[in-house]
Amino acid sequence: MADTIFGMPFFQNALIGGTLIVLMLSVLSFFVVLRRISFIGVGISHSALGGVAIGLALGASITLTATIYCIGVAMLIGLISRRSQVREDAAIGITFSGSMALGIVLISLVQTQHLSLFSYLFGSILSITRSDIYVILGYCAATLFLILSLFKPLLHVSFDEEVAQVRGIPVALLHYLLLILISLAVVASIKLVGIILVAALLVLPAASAFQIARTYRTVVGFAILFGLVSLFSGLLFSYRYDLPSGPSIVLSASVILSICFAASRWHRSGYRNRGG
Amino acid sequence: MATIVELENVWVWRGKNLALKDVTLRIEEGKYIGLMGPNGGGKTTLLKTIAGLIKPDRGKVKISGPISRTIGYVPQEQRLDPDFPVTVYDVVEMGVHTGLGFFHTVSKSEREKIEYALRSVGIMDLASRRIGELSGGQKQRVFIARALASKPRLLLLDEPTTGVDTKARDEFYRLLNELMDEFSLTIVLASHDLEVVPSQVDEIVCINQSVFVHAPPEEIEGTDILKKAYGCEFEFMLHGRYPHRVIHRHDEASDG
Repeated sequence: MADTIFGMPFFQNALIGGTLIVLMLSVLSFFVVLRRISFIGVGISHSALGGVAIGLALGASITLTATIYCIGVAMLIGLISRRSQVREDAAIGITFSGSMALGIVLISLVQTQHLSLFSYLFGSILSITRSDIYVILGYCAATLFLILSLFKPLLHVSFDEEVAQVRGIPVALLHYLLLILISLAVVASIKLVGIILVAALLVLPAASAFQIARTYRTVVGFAILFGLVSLFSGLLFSYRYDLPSGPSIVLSASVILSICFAASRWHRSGYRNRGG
Repeated sequence: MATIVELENVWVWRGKNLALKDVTLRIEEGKYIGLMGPNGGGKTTLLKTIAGLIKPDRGKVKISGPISRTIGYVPQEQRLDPDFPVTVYDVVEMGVHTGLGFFHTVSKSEREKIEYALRSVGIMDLASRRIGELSGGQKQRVFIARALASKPRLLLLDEPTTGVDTKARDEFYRLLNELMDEFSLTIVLASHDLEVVPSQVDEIVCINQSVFVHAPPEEIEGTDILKKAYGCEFEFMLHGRYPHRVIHRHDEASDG
């Protein structure tokens, strides 16, 4: 099977695009888990449907409208989470459900036979074209450059925001930057992973890595490894059983988390039994 | 003696509550200040205002130099995530970074500063341990090493002995005295540890929204200034820079 599908252009596109997406999501997932902002990830990703729908309604580039919309939502959530008296979880819940409602209404109005709401929500292995890969490559390069170049300030802010501020690190700027990078990764992932499930990949790779790794370098390394294994196994599963690609990849990542969790428990109980 | 921190008529509201009321305070370089007062009296707010974390609603705060190069801040004991994936060395390294610093790598001189700070607080052997694995006293030393790594002139410590056992606390105060000489520090130590702090410091600042007194401990001993600030009576003994514990003497009425 492997020989056959690896020669197919659509699978090659899914594999190349997916690898770039997973690199982005896995590195970001480290900070999403560390800073406990997974619900912000859910809010931004679900809101993307509003941006997609606006693009469809206007006949404009979906990538462009979704990017602008997601960054706008991210800034709003970021502002609320840092400054407002409104509860952050309530604000995220309202923002994403409102955006999804807007998206579904607009898509229903402009729906044609070429458009499948299902593929935007859950991803499709067939949907990534060669030109999509160039867009994903651009988003991936920008995201990885910024997050890796600012890794230590981001780590410091995540560890101790007050001391980071005393050291002259622009804490608020980094918070908003992280949310913008999450927005870029979400938009780049819509076609392959889908709007509903991309938030899972903003958590699962690092959540698995945290179970077994001890230093930030090894956590990031394992998160990337687990993300790639989830991608490859998920895509093969998706092709073999004709399933949407997003759920297949997320299921693979969930299996890896279960294994890591069990390994961590087993290691700790063994350590205690040995009197450590 | 040069002034390192000066607050002029500073007012701070935290939400609807007044935290600092018309605080005027001058801290001279090289002094060891004990910042005392009841819980909720504004000690933490005052330290954060000096560190630039809180902007005063009214009044002025003057620091003699840029905050990131002048102040080393050791916040109140944090609810640290025990699984946070950083080692002791990583935490102390955070003390040498300033600003955004794209692709920051540790230079040779920065590595020397980190190792010097680790040695000064006696935790070089813990450098590769994960921060979550340490005891309360060890963590406190790590946070002081992080503050010292930036070579500050002013060290702000907020309730540093909370959650630390008695023996470690006594060692901690001795360590602060040594560090003060070694790093030529000015220290502001916020604490409600009336048993030990007055015997350690050069001056006491007693705060409960407003500054009740700013004077050497000898001048406060035997007066009712602390009683006014705290709302009950205390006694402390002064026998040089060695920790002594004295039992609090509350009024019989308030005990009952």
